[in-house]
Amino acid sequence: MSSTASARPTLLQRIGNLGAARVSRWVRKRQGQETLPVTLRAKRLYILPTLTGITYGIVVVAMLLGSMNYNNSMGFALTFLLAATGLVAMHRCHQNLSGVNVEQASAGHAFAGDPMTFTVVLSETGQRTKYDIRASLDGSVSHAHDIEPGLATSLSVAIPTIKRGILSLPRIGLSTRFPLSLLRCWVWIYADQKALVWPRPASDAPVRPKTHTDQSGADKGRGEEDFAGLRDYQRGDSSRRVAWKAFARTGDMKTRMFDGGSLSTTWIDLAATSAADIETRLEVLCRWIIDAHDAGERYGLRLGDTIVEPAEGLAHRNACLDALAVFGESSA
Amino acid sequence: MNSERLRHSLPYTISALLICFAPHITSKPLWITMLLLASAATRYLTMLRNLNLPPLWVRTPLGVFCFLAVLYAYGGVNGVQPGSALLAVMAAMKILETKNDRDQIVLCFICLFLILSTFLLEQTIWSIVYLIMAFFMTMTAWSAVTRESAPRGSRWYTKESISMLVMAAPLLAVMWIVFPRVPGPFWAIPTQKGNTTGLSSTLSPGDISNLSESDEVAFRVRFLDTPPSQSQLYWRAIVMQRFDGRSWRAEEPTLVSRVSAEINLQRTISRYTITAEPTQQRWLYALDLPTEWQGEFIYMSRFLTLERSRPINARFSYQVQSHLGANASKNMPKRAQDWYLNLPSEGNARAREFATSLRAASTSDQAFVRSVLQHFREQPFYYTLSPPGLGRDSVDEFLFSTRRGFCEHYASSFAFLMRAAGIPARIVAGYQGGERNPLSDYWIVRQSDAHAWTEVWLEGVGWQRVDPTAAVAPERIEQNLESALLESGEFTRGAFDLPMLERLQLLWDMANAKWNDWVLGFGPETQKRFFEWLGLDDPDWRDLVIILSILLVFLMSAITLWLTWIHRPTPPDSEMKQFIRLQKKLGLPAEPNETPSDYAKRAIAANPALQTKIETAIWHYLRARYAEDQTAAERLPSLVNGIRKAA
Repeated sequence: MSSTASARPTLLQRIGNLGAARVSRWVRKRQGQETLPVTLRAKRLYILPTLTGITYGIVVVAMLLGSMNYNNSMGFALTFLLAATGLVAMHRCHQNLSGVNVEQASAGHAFAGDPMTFTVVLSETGQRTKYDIRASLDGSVSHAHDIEPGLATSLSVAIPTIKRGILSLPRIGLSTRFPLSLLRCWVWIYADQKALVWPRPASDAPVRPKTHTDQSGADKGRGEEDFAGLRDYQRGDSSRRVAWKAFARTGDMKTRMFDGGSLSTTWIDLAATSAADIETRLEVLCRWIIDAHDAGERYGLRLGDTIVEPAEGLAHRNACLDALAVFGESSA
Repeated sequence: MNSERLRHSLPYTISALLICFAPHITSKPLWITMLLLASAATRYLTMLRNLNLPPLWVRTPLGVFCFLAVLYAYGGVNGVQPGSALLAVMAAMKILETKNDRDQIVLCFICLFLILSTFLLEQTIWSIVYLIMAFFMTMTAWSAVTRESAPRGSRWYTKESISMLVMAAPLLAVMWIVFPRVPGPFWAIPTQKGNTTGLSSTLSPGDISNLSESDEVAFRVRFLDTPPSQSQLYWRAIVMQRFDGRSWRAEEPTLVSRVSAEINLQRTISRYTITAEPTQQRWLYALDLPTEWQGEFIYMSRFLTLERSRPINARFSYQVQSHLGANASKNMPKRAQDWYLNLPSEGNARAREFATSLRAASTSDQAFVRSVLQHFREQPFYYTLSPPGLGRDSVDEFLFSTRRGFCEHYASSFAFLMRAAGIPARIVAGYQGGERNPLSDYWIVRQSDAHAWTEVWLEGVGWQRVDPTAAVAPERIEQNLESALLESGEFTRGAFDLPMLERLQLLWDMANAKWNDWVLGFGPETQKRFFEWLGLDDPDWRDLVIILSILLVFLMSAITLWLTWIHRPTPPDSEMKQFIRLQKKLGLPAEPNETPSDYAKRAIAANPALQTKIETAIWHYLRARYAEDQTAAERLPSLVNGIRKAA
C-alpha cells in the first residue's frame, strides 16, 4: 500500500485524477448531503459501458459492416440480436440498482495500519432479486452480493488505514455490472461517514506503571479480590473472571463480581509516557490499555483534559481507544 | 478463488464454443475438429485434476504449426472457409491458455464470430434454429463468466439468457424491418472457387444432361397474374452465338438499358417475381422478352436477356414483365446477320451438305425449319439422359449415326443446320417449365429443368424460338423432364416419391420459399416494397433512421416500464394495511425499528383508555400475519374500525 502511495503518478494518471476530482465535485454539488436510509431512485444512477462493453460495441459495428458487405441476411439477424441484447442489458443493468434501499452504513474498529471493515446494509424494496451489487468506499471495493427481496444484505468493504485519527469517508459507492458486464451502473451516496482509527499498539512499550491511586481503594486497604457475588456474563467481560466452575455445573455463564473498592484500579495516563512524539506516546497508551483489558483489570484513562472514568469490559476498552483516536483532532 | 470461478464457468464456455463450431465440422478438414475437441478435453481435464496448463513452449509452436496447417490446407487466409478455420484454430489455442474471466470473454467473442462465419457459408432455413441455439449457449456462457456473486446453478443462467433473448426479440424485429439496408458490397468479396452452380457460359454436348441430375432449386417464380402454360415457360438466361465445331460460347454481352424500338410486341403480357438462388454468375432468368424490371443492378443485354452488373452471391429477388412470343429485331443489318451465320471453316461436312440440299428443296426459310423439325421427328431420334460420347465432328456423328441425345445435342445440331443453310441462328441456354407448388401459388424451377433451345432469325419476322427437342420429345416441354424420361423408361420413381412424402417435400419447399422471401431476400427492394405497402413512398435512409429511432425508443420504454413493474415495491398485504390504518387512527406512526408489540405498549401509554381495544387489535394482527390465522385476519378490520380516539 505504502509503495503505491509513494510512487509518483504519471501525467496521464494526474489528468485522470484531475478529471475524476472535477466529476466528483460536480456530483457532490448535484446530490448534496444526505442521511441514511436512502432508496436509490433511477434519477441518481450513472451508467457507462465497461471495457468489455466497448469491445462488444466495436464487434457489433464490425459485424454490421460485414453483413452489409456480404448482403448476408442471417448476418444482419445476428448483428441486430447482439445490438438488441446490448440495449436490453443496459436497461436491466440500470434497473438492477434502482430501488435498492441503503439501510445503514457503519464503520468497524481498526488499529492504524490494519484494514478497517466498513459495512453497508442493503435491502430490496421490490419483489425481484438484485444481482451482483458491490459497495465501494474510498477506492476499496467489496465482494459482489445478490440482494434478495425481504432480506437485509450487508456488504463489507475493507479500507486500508494508515494513521490514527478520524477517517472521513465522504462517499459510499454502490455499483453493478449485471447482466453480462457490458455496462457498469453506479451510484454515489454522500452520507459523510466517520470512522475512528485507533493508534497502532506500540510493539516495545515501556512497562506500565502500577498506579493504584483510587481513593476508595486506599480506604478499604485490603487490596486483593473480595468476592461480592455473581452476575450474568456480558460480552466483553474478561475470561479470567468467568465463574468457570459454576459454568461447568449449570451451563450458565456468570461473571464473578468483586467488591468495588477491593479491585485494583489502574490509571493509564498520558503524563506517564515519556516519548517526544505524541503519536508514539499514544501508541504506548494503546498498548497499555490492551494489556490492562487482557489482564482483566479495572482501569481509567487520563489524556490531559480528557478523562475516561475507570471501568472494565470490551466497551470500556473501545471507549478508551476511541478517546486515543480523537485525541488532538480539532473536529472531535 | 479464481480457479473456483473458472471451474464453475468453463464448462459453459467450452460447450458454447463446440455448439457454435458444430456446423463447420463437415466443411472443415477433420484435424481442425479433432484439434478443437482435444484442446477442450485437455483444458477440462486439467481443470478437474487441478493440473498445470500446457506451458508456453508447447503452446507457441503448436499455434504456429496450426496456422501453417491452415495456410497449407487452403492456400491462404482470404475467404470465409480459411477464415473460419483460422477462427476455430484460434479458439482451440485460446482454450489451452484460458485462466481467467477475460480469456473466457475472448472465447465468447470467438463464438460470435464463428456464428457469423457459419452464415457467410450457408443460410438455410435451419440457420434460424442454429442462430437461436448458438446465441443462447454463448449468452449462457457469458452470464456464467460474468457472474460476480456466489455461483448459481445452470437453471438460473438458462433462465437469464432466455429472458434476455425474449426481451431482445421485439427489438430485433424492428431493426430487421426498419434498419436501412444499403446494397453492398463495399469491398471485394473473395470468390468461392468451384462453387458456381447451374448453367455456364459454354455449352458442350453432355453439359445439360449433367445438370439434369441435380435436384437443386435454381429459382422460384410467383406469377402476378394467370401463369402461362407449361409449354410457354422458356426461361431465357444465356444466349450463345459462337460455335467452334463442338461447343457453343456466349459473347461478353454489351449491356443496354432500353429495349430497341424495332421489337414486334405481341399481346400476351406476363408479370412475375423471381427469387434466384446464388450462382456467383451474373445472368438472370426471364421469359421471352422482358420489357420492364425492378431490382438492384439489373440491365438488359443486347440479346434481350437480363443480367446483373454484379454476381449473384446471395439470394436475389426481382420483378419482371415479359411479352410472351415477342419477336425481336425484325430488321437486322446484314453485318449482324453474318455474325449469326459464322461456322468453323471445316468439319461436319455431311451436315453442311444435308442442310444445303434440304434448303434447296424447301420453298422458304420457314419451310426449311419445318422440314428439319420433321426430320428429327420422323427419323429414329431418341431423347435420352445418357447419350453416347461424340467425337470431333459431333454434329455429323449425332445426326447420322448415334441419333441419341439430350436437348443440347438437338439444339446444337439444329442451329448448325440453320447456319449451314444461311439462316441466322443462336443457342439459348436456360430453363424450361417448372413445378407448381400446389400448397402455395408459386413455381419451383430446378437445375433439372435446365434446357437448351435455338432461336432463328427469319426475314420479316425477327428472332423466332424453335425448340427441336419439342419435336423429338414433346412431353419434355408439355410436362417435364421426368415424364419425358419415364416414357423412355429411363427415369424410375424412387421410394421417396410417394404422394405423402411428395406433399411433405412440397410443404418443405414452401417453407423454404417463405424463408427466402422474408428472411434471406429481405433487402433494399423488399424493404421499399414493405414501406410502400404501409403507405410510405420510397423512404430514404434518413427517414428510416428516424423511424428506427422512434420505434426503438418506444420499445425500450416499454421494456423499462415492464422492468419497473416487475421490480415494483412489494405492496403491503391486507393485514399490513390494517396496521397502517390503526397507526393513522391513533395519529401515532410506528418507528421503523419498532415491533408491533412495542408499538402497542407505546400506543397504550399514549391512549390508556383504549388499552383493551389496542391490545386485541394488535394480537389479531400478529395472529393474522405470523400465524396465518384466517379468522383473526377476518376480524382485524372491524377491530381497527372499533378504535376511536377520544377527542
